[in-house]
Amino acid sequence: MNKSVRGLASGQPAKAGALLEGRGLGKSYGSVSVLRGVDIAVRAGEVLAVLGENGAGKSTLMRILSGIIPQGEYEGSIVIDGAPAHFASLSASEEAGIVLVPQELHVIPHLSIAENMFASRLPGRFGLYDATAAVRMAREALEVFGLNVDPRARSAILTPSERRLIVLAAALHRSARVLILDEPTAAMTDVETDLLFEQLRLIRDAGVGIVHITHRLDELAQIADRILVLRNGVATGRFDSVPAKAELVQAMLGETLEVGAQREPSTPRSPRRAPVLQVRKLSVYVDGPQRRARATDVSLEVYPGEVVGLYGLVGAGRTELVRALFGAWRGPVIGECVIAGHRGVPRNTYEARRRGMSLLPEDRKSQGVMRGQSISNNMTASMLDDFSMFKFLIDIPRERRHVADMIAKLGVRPARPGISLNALSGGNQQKVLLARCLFKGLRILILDEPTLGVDIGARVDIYKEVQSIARERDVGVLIISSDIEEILAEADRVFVMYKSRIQGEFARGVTSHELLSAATGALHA
Amino acid sequence: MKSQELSSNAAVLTQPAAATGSKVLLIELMKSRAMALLLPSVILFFYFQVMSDGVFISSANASLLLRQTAAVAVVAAGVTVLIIMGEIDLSIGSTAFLAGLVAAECQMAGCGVAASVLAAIGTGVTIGLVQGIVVTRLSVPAFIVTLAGLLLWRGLGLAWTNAAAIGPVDADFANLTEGRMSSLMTFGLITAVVLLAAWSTYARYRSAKEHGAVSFGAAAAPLGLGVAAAGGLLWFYIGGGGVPNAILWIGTIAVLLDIILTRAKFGRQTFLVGSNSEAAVYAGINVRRTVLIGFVVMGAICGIAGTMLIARVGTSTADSGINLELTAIAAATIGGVSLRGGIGSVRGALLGAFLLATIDNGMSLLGVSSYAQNVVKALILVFAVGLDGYLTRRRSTR
Repeated sequence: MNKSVRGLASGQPAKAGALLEGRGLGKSYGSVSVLRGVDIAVRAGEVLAVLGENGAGKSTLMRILSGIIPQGEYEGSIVIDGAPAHFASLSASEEAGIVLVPQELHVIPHLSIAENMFASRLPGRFGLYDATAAVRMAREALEVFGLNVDPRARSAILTPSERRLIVLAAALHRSARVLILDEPTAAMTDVETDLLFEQLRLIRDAGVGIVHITHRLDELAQIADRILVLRNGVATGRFDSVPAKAELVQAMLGETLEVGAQREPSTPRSPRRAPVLQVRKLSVYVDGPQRRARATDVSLEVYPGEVVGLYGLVGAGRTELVRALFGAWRGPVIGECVIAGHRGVPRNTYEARRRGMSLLPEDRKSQGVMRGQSISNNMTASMLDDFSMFKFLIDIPRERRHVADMIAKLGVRPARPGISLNALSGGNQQKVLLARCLFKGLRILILDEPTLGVDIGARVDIYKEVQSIARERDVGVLIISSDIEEILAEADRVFVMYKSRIQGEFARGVTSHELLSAATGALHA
Repeated sequence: MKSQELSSNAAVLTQPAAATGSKVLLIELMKSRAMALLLPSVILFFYFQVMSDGVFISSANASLLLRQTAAVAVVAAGVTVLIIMGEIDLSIGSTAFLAGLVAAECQMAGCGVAASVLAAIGTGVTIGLVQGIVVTRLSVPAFIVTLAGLLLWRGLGLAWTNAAAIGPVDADFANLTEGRMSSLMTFGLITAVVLLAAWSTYARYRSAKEHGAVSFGAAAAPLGLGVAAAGGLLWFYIGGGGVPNAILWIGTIAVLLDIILTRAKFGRQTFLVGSNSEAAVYAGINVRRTVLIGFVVMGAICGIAGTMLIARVGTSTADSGINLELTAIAAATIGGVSLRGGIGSVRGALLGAFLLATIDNGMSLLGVSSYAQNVVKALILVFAVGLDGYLTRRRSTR
């Protein structure tokens, strides 16, 4: 494991004082203050978890500490090893040993994995890029994570969570004294998370101070030494050990909240009703000479008025399956299915839309948000026909009323239909994108990781809306998730997918242990 | 007047809603952009006016300017639709040339004016359809397809006529843009403009009241614009020997395209596809069809522009419409249409077209060489886009 902690030996792990300290940090944009008087201290050899809803100021705080917001544009001071520090840029803070792994990754799919990992500091020889050295460095870094990929391969082959792992591996490969991870586990499966934490503990024990931003309360017991909670730009909680969840939630929300406990029992489904979605032995292949199967002989059905969970780890083939069902898969799809009374998979997404099907895609940024367009335009993108006269002119007042209703119903904040959607927090963006799925005549709603990177408050709003859509509008809902608590709390029935196959069907009341066993292949006799 | 136009530009992007804080901020920003463009324009206009001994702002010169700009203004409005969609058309000049040539040949063959114009539009639509199908079905980038079109359509026309000038066309044909409107028509048009502006003002007032935020300036903007337009028409009528027919072409196409972009389903989808076409696919939008329609609309407008070019000169010549696409794209860009897609308005593009034409016209009056004119236009283009980039950056750091 020496490789993972290269350059750390000089880090004096026994040091008691803070490695990195922020005093009275604040930041405002115009008249809007997003961070006020926050003190933060990271000691050598500890993991400081930073919690807070989206928009609480976590990312702003990290942007100050890492120099993205340069000296002079924030209030307060930064102290390193007891001496004041002034960072003019990200590279200045990296020089001081502070490494930030941002939440939004910029992995360029056409470049190789090695090139992406070391983009900002490519090894050179005689002024030319030294590809051999880059590949060797990448191998070293990846080995630490047990990632078995060829650094020379194009990054396009990586799944989103593998992309995060390569960026993390690259960050750990440089000599870091303080490592700041902005929601690294948001898109990770439990197995990947465990692997990451194992690495983080090693690094921590070598004397690095780690700042770990997260939404997941469960993982705190595993990794956090101390906890800082932010709410509305102010520090509202400091804990020197991991307290009860209720206490943390209270500090985050300012109110107690029973997570996933307020749902009425599922309505028994009538055996005489026809399923709204029926899939029989469906296989989904990647277009190409090898014909790799991403889903194999999948059979499942969803009845109107019920919420069905599709649980599995990232890479199990869930996303590929629902893309095929939605007409958004380019490769071959073989097998039978009946969707809203029509045979076969739709040939394209607007045929799916006409059948009354909508999909909330996994990747909010590239497949959901229409950048620069207003909340209103984003919300009604799928339902312009609902407001159109002669399918041509949009009835703007009617559209406006609908948008205002949905904003109020889902609690979108800020409640201003005219502002650009990308200015909202992740949770509020997701609410708007969910509203986009709810057009007139909806019969099947598929949600692919609906609460990824969404704060608890917004989650509750989203779950409430999804449940009411299923019950009141008699819509069949299929939720894909790798969040076990979400599946247990929301789904009436659960299918588990593992390595492209359906591994089992479970009724409500299944334990998390059973689900995880099925999803990791442990159930397979 | 220009600042009003630009700030109503902003309203298109943001939907006039009950937003207060962010809207004020946006208007502030748009104002500064408008101011930054407006101020040099005013100085330039003043300079032209003084240096040309008052010829620059005369109704005779304005009438000439309108007729000179008509074709550019029309295609700038058209290419705005494509650019917002995230596509581009480099074949505009060649398509307009071939369409105009077809109209001229029809005229020589003894066809009527209407038949000739329809033939030109038909040619444009066919070309748009062909280019659109190649772009959407074969997934060839529009840049490449229309770059090929730039060579192909003019090449076809030149090979057909051996680069000969075809003409002259009938006087009736030339009058399509060069003629003057009758008194009856002029006053009918003025009445229509004022009524439209009044109705629009009322509608805005009612909607603002519904949202509890009545702003006098925002509600009165269309009325001010309408009165200014009516005044301009009257000015032409009294001082310039009549209103040029070219206004009808520009006005009709601009109003139609503006309504389509801001009110119609197709226009909304244009913005959505241009902002994020993958997300548009997931929202169930038929992206291919939207893009195909965009190219067909562009083709039809090229057909109309070709007609206007022939009407203006009276014959089809080998260099008719040359560089038209570049002027149109420059005009749209100056008017705030983003080449990244998803942002822009017909109004902005028209403003850009007229700004470029005015500079052209003013410098010609002063006897500046056309080489130096190109230098000035280039600087304005870079200035406008650079300013846009600066303002976007300032906004995104928020």
